[in-house]
Amino acid sequence: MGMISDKTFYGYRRPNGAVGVRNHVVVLPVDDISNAAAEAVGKVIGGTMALPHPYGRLQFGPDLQLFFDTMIGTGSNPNVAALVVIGIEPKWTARIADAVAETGKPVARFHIEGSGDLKTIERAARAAQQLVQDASEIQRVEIPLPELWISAKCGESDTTSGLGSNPTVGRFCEWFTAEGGTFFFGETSELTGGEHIVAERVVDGEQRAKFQRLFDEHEQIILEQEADLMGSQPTQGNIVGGLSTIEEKAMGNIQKIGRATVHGVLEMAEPPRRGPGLYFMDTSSAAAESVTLFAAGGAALHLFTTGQGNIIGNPIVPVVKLTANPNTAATMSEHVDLDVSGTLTGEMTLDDAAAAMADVAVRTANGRLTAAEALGHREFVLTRLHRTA
Amino acid sequence: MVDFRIHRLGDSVGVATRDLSRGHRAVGRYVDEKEGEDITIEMAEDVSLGHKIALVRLSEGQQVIEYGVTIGAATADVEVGKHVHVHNLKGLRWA
Repeated sequence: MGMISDKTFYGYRRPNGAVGVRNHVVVLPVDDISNAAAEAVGKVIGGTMALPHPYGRLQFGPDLQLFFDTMIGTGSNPNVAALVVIGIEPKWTARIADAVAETGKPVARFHIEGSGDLKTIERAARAAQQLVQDASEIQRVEIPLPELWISAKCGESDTTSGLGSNPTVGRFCEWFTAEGGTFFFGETSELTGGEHIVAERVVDGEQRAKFQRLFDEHEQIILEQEADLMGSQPTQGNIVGGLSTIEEKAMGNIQKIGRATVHGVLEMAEPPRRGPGLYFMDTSSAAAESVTLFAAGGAALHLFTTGQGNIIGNPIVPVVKLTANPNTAATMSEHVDLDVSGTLTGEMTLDDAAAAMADVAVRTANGRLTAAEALGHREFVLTRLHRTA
Repeated sequence: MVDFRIHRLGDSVGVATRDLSRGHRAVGRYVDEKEGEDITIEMAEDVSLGHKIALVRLSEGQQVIEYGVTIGAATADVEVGKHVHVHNLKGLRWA
C-alpha cells in the first residue's frame, strides 16, 4: 500500500458526491450593498457564516463572468452544507442560487428591493435557522484520502521555502497524485523563470497550449505596465528573507509540485473535469485571492507554505500552514500547523516531512481546526480583471 | 553541522541555513546528497539565514545559477564567500 491510498478520513459526502471536510452554512451577499443584511443574518443565527465582499455591481464582460464563477464555485464548494443567497435584486441573486442548487445542496435566496433590509433579514434568518439545524444532523463518514481535493500555495516565501517547506509539499503532491488524488497549484506570475519547466510537465498537448496561453496573457499584462515590480513581486517580505529575483522565487515555488506531471490546466475558479491528477489553475500570486479561487474550483483543503510568516486563512477551506524557517516557527508559532525546519539542517528527511504533512492533512480533514481557523482568519477575496462600468 | 545548502551541482550560489559570520569556514551540503560531496567556503562577510553566498567568483553581467537555472545576472563583481542579493543581483525577466 502507498503513503496515501491506505489512509482515510471522516468527511461529508455531499449529494453530488463531492467530499467536504467542514459543514458550513454560508450567507452569501450577491453585492456590496447586501453585505449588511447578510452579516445581520450571520449574527442572529448561530452556526452560520456571512461572506461579505466589496463587489457585484456594474461589473461586465470577463470580469463579471469571473465574479459569477467565483461566487457559484464558493457556494458549490463541498465544505458548504447549505447556502443562503441575499442580493439587492432577484436576477443576479437567482443566477447564483440556481447554479449552486444544481449540486443538490439546499439553497435559499432573497432579494432586498421591494421589502427592505429588515423584512429580508427576518425571512433569511428563518430560512438560515432551518438550514443550520438540518446541517447539524449530517454525519461524517469514512472516505479514502485520495477523494479529497487539495490545493497548495506559498506566501511571504523566502529561500527556506525553496529548500524545505515547498519540497515537503512537493513530495506529498507526488505521492497524492500518483495514488489518485486531485491537487491544485497556481500563482501564474510566480512561475516566471520556471514556466518552461511547468510547460514540459503538462502531458496533454492541448492542455499544454492552454497553459502557455494563460501564462503569456498574464506576463503581457505585467509587461504592458512597464513597471518595476521589485518590492511587489518579489515582495518586501521575500527580499528580507533572502529572495532576490522573480526567477529565483519561481524556482522555489515550483518545488511544491515535486516531480509530478501536470494532468490539466484550469482558468480562474474553473473546476477540474478531467478526473484525478495535478491541475494548474491560472491565479494571482496574492495569497487570499488564489486560495479563494482554488476553493471556488472545489478544493476542500489547502496546504500553505510560508517563509517569513504569511498568516492567511479562508472562510470555508481550512488552510494548513507549514514553514521550514526556524525563526518563523519560533516567533510566529501560533500561525504554524507544521514545522519542517529540520529539512534545512538535514535532521528531517523530505519523506519524513511529507509523511508528517499527510498526517496533519488527515487530522485537519477529520475536523482538527487549523491555526488560521482558530485565529479567525477568513480572507474571502475576489479577483477582479478590469474596472467597473 | 551544515551551514548552507546547495540546490544543484553547478550552482553559483548556496543558501545559508543559519546566521554565518565573516571568517567562518562554512560547510555546504547539496540538497540531494548524491549530487556531490560537502564543500567548504570561507565567509567573506556576514550572511544571515536564508540569504545566498557566492560559491564562485562572479563578474559583473555574469549569469547567476541556482536550482540549475539562471535566476538573474550579477550587477557587480562578487568574490567567493560574499553575500549575493538585490544589491548585486538582478533578474532578467520583466526588465
